[in-house]
Amino acid sequence: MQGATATASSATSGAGALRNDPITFEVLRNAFKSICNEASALIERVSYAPTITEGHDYSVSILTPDGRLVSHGQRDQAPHMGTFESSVQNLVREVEEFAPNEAYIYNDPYTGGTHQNDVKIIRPIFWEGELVAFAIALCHWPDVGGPMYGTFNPRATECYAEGLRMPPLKLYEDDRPVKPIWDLIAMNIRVPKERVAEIHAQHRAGVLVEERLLGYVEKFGLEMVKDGFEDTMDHSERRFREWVGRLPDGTYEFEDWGDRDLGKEDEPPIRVHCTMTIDGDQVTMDWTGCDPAPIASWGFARPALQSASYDGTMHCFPELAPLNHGVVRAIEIISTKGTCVDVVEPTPVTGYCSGAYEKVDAVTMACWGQALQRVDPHRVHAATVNLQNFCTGGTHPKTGAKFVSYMWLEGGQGARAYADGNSFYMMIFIGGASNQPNETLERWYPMVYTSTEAVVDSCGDGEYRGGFGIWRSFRATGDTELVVLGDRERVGPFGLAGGSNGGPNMVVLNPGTDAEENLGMFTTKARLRSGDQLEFGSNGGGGYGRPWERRVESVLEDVIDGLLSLEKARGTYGVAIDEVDADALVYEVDENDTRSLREALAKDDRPRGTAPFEVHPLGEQLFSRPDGLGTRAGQATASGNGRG
Amino acid sequence: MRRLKVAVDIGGTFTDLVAHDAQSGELLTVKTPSTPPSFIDGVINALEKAGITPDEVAIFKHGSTIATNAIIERRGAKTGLVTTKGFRDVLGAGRANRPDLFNSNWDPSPPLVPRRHVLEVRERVDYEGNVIEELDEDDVRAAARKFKRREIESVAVAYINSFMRPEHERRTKEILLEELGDGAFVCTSSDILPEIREFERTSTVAANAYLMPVIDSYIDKLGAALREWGYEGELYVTHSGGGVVTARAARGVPARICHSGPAGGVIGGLLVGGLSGFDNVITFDMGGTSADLALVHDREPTLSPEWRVDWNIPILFPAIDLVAIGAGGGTIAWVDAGGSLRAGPQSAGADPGPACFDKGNLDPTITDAHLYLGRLNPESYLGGDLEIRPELAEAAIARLAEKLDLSVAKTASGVLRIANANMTSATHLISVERGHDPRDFALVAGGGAGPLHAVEIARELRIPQVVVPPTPGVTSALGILHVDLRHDLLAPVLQQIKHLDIEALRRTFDRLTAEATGILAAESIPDERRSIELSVDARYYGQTPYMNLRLDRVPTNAAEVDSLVADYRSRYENEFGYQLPEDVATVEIVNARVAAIGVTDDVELPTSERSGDTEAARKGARAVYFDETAEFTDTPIYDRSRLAAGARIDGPAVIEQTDTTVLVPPGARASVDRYLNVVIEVSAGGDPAPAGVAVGAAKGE
Repeated sequence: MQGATATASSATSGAGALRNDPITFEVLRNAFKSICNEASALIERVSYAPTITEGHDYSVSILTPDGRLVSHGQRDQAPHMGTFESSVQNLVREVEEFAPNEAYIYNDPYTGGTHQNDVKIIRPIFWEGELVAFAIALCHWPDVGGPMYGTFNPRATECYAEGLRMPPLKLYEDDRPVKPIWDLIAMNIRVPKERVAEIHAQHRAGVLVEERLLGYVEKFGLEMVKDGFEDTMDHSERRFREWVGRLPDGTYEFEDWGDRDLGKEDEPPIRVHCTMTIDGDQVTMDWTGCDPAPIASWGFARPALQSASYDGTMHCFPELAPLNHGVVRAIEIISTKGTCVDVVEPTPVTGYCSGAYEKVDAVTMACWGQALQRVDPHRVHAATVNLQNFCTGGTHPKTGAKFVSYMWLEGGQGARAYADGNSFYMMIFIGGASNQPNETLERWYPMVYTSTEAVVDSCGDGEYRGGFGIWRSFRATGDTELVVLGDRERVGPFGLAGGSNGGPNMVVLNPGTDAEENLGMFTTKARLRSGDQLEFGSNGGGGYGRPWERRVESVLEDVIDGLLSLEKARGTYGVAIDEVDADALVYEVDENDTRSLREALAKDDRPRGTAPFEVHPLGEQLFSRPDGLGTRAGQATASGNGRG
Repeated sequence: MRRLKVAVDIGGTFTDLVAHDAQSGELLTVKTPSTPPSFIDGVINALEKAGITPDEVAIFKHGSTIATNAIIERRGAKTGLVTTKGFRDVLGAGRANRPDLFNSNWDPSPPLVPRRHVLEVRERVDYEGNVIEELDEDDVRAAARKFKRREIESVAVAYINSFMRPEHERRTKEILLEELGDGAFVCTSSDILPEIREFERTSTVAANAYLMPVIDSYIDKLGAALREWGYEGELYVTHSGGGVVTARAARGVPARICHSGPAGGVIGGLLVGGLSGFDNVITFDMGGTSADLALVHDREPTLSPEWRVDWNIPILFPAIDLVAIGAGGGTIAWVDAGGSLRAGPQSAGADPGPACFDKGNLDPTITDAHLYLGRLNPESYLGGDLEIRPELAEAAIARLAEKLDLSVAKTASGVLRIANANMTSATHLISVERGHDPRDFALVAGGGAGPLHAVEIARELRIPQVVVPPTPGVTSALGILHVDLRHDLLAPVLQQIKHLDIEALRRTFDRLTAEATGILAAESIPDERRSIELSVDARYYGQTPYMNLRLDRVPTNAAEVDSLVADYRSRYENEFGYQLPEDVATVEIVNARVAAIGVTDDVELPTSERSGDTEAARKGARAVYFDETAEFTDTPIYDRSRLAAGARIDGPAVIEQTDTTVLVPPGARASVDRYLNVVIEVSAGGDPAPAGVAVGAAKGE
């Protein structure tokens, strides 16, 4: 293992490198986590929008005065906290002097964020006149103005056509709101009154972090707490480098695609590519092979590229959670300005998450997966369901009130190298987020939901299959406008080692009628009339390994559970199943037929490509079924995810 | 003849019995091994061991882990679920979230009803309770026939918005009973839990159906065994909300009696604390694998509207709100790849147990740390029933110390500091974070390990006193003895205050109250023991969680509604430290609740006549390590069973008893009250309130 960077030169020397004694260190490290968890719980408890209270789209973190991440809440959202270092570093550049009991509101994506909806409130924390830390509380506001309900704008070609963009602005002075700033914001967003609850929650979360952190300063002294910050980061860096050092040196490449750039005439797909280099305990992620920035809202600015790279990494090393600067500084990230993963103003970014974020995240995991597959295949994942931002808005016919709703769908998890992907799984990067109950949504918005049901056959196929996607469809009961900004309708979540890509994301209006229309992933202001039926379905996860090597019993179980059709069991998995008596769940496997079907399938003339259910060529070429880890023997228990 | 109130608490390892004669004040306590899988022999054994005859038993209450275990071990009935067409995966999808954002290897636990047995029926009710699609009875009959052919043992019914209009579910139940036969087990979500949010409601009713046949047969068998023994009276079962219901009622709502063990422990702690003069207590029970903490304010335990068996299996019945963290005597200490000392979450449990048990575990545990530091007596661990080897504890900690480059003693005390910090953090969560000042509370410590850690935790939080009951091992049974009969009824309201239909609210409460009175009558509770408690769940419109507000009576006019709103707003401000402007946030009444209570007499525990010289209880001395002095100090050891009321012991001291060890660190002072509780003043007038702040960790890590 070669020496680390200057800050971590003592990384391999063990506990002696700690500034505090190991006991105080562990107490403080846990304390930083627990402070963030408490503040997160407060936001969940007192916010207003279902996006936040039911959906959990918020985060809380502690950073050092120079903008290094110390800790975050256990169920927060990865895209947020990965950009917080940029946020605070820019804040510190912009603001000449901070004072106690201030808070700054900030959402500019290019200098320090993700997209306009992610609104941060940042609080400087002082002890005896010295700035000792920043607390950030971020909530995804359901609307920050612009032409579209919910601010997502698939047709935007510039950020000015998305929503309100705010540099760091002082929103609180002496813990009192600065009225003109709030009035300016309120004049430029929809339903501003509702956001008052979020602002209070975010501000209060910062105060809570301050109270708790200063309690520790009082108890341990400022120097020990500051040392605790440094120790916490060093500790993560040591553990991370220890992992990297165990992986074979080399270069690992992967690529993934966005469906299309809506802003160009021929709507070409968008390529995301990474070259990861592991050299001793050093890792470099080079994104310079990515396509130029698309015209439409799909890409993101550099802070979000970092965030996505960290997220993909953390999913391969979850024991390093919470993420902090120790991991951040151990990863070198290279990108080219003006590419789709490093866009510059005014390239639009509201769709960053369903667009570039998902792809960078998945590609990062696939690069690590190549390095990990011989060392610890339990850390190898095929690609998971892609986010669809789904916004509706209008005037509620019963109450006359304006409404804006923002929701998303869970779907199939990518298969693991040792187990099936789970069905009905929240997107990989927002594991703390939840779906929103139909019964709550119906009380708020003019719609009657018609399904919460698996998309049959949507799994990417494999020896281990991906999880299944879900239908959450509804009938409009009032006139509603709809904006969808998603992806992976044309490019499925990729499979690995010969597993196929997962099924598509889908938004279809009035299916099976003369008025049927595939609205697709980039829908701008579709008008739903009362009585219109909208089918909203999600990706299955990518598969792992060859489907005809899947255990016959597992295929049968999926058929019995109604998740897999007899046709797909036969055609893709080579399992011939007779439905003897469906009411009593009596099915029989024809073993002879199955043997010959599987022999024929083994010739493997399946289509290669990136579309749903095709076999991903790179995934097939670069990944193989892990040997020697008893995955076969472990399959009976490991594959049972219990969700059908 | 004695007239005994008897409480039996059936745990996984021990069956505890407490019996009390109100006339004489006599209190019997007995501990016998549990007898899985039936557990019933253990109950009879305990009765016999206590020397109780059937005709002495005035009332028999019991708590059991059988319902909880049936879910955890997936030994419930083969269950089917009937749901609205299109919504087959409400149960399987859950809320689709995960406990840790980065851990994508985490798998949810399997739902209690597999997808194949979730059958759909055409029907639909909208959010206001209007029928927008009639119930298709043929679909229901078809489902029933499928269930029959699949030998499904129990069926749950959960339709969308059924809490607003239960008719479709009720009719479905009728049809299912017709088709499946009258003895079939069928329950509906609108009956069990008429509350908004389809997944949580479905999860609750599915768990209920899953348990019905199990609990039904358990109650049959227990009833038969008790009758055979000679007891013919009523059998009461404790539930998660800290009350009992009759066995008859438990058969219909078995999910209610899950999670009852911890509830007994909290009520027991409340009772013990009350005897020592504390109306506000934090109960702290630390055993071999985990620690439970709960807060009791003004003799009322905090209730949470839901609890979870697993992350993705919520049960929305009121439950005593407790925080469980993975810290117990068997919790393993280790050094991670980054060189950090960690405690848990892995545990060696009771088997193989701590390194000193010499049963194959080489990793140091919290028990090993205590043993090395001299706090545990190697000669009489668990009363001498278990032989332990201190040199193995020392070797295990020494291996850890080497990695950390610390002394063995510092390492052992460090392990305990980290565990204490985790528990302190959990205590902080249930106290300070909910607007309570720990200085107003006493910490009641139980479990084999609780009294070893209690003073340290109390000091961190500035809790002034620690109480250790004489028999901390039977606190839960004592709690069961004390609890009232209690049924909780609920009806949805879901109206903002500004649109509140006061007349409709009154009708809702009238209906619930009539139902409550009927229940108390049916359970033969005499008038003077009946109590009806009214409350509402309220929140700011738009938020999800709510607060429960007790009502003296149903509001009948705008002024009374205003006072309800004011009450909500002040509680909210107290808990969260700020207030929302009135024009932004209107208050919504979510549910009306009525509790039907059959009041039990307070248990008057006997005071002790024991007398004697404190020095006579002193059985020796040994070297014990304390953080305060950072060295081993020759420390007196006392025998709890010989300590008399009025005894006073200044720390440092160790008080030993068969089921636990009480640590009195330097600066603390213990005294024994007339109920033989050990009450410890944690700072004993010395150090005036150190800069108190919680030190802590995320629970469970």
